[in-house]
Amino acid sequence: MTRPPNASVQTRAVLGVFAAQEGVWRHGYDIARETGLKPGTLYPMLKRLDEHGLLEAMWRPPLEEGRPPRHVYRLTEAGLAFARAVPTAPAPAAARASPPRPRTVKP
Amino acid sequence: VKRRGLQDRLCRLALRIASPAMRPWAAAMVREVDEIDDPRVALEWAFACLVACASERLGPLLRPVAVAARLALAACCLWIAGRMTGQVAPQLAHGAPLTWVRGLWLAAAALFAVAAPLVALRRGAAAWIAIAATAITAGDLALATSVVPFDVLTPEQLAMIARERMSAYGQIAGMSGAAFAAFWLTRRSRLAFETS
Repeated sequence: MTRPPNASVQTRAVLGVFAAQEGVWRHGYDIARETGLKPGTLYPMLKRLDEHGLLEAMWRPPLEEGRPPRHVYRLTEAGLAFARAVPTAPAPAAARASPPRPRTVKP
Repeated sequence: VKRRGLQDRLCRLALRIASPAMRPWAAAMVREVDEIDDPRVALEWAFACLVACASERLGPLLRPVAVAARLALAACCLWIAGRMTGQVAPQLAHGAPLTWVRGLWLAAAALFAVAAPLVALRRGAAAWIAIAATAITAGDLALATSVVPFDVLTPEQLAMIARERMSAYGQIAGMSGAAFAAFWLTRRSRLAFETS
C-alpha cells in the first residue's frame, strides 16, 4: 500500500506545472526542468499520483518515424481538484538556484 | 535513436535493477535520455535513473539498517559526551557545584546530538533544540567560571580549564557534524521514494 500523496513542496511544484496548463500532456524531462527535481524524486512522485488516480499516463506514439514512444502525463479531474485544493509552491531550491538551461529537448 | 555508450550502459543497468512494479516507470525515465541533446545532462539523467531504481529496490532493505545506525550513532554521541564530562571537569576543592556544570554539559551534548540529525532531516524543531543547547552551553560556561573562585586558581589552571572546555566542545561539535553527515547520507539514500 503506497502512502497517499501529501502536499510537500516538491508535490506542489509538480502539481503547479500541470495546473498551469490544464489538460496538456507533459513529458517527464520537461517537468523535471521546470521544477528542478531529479528523476529519482520526480518519477516515484508521478507513480504515486498515478496510483491514487490523480494522474493519467500513457505512451504517446512518436512524432518522428523511427523513434520509440514517449511517456506523457496529465492530471485527471481528481488531480486537478487536488491541485486546486493545495496551495501553490515555489519551485524547489535547486530550480531557483541555477538559471534555466537552454532548451535541449527535440521537438 | 542513438545513445552514447556510458548512458546506454547506465540505462540498461537501471532497467535491470528496477523492480517489476517500477519497470514501466523506469522505462519512461530511461526513454527521456534520448530526448536530451546535451551529453552531460543526458549522462546526469541516466545516472539519476540508475540511482532511483537502485534506491527503490534497496530502500526497504536499508531502512532498518539506517534506523539502527542512527540509534547507535546517538548512543555513541551520548556515551562520548558523558565520558568527556567526567574527564574534563577539573577536580577542585570547591568541586560540589561542578556537578551542576557536568549535568548542564551532558544536557547540552544530548541536545546537540539530537539536533544534528534533525537538521539533516530538515525538521523545524532542530533550530529550537540547537538554540536551547547553545543556551545551556552558555549557562554551563558561565556557571563554571562563576562557581570557582578565581582567586584560588592560578592563571595556568584557568588556561587549562578554558583549553579543555574548548577541546571538549570542539569534540561535541565534531560528533554533531558526523551525526549530521551520517543522517544526511541515509536521508539521501531514501529520499527518492519518500519525498512526496
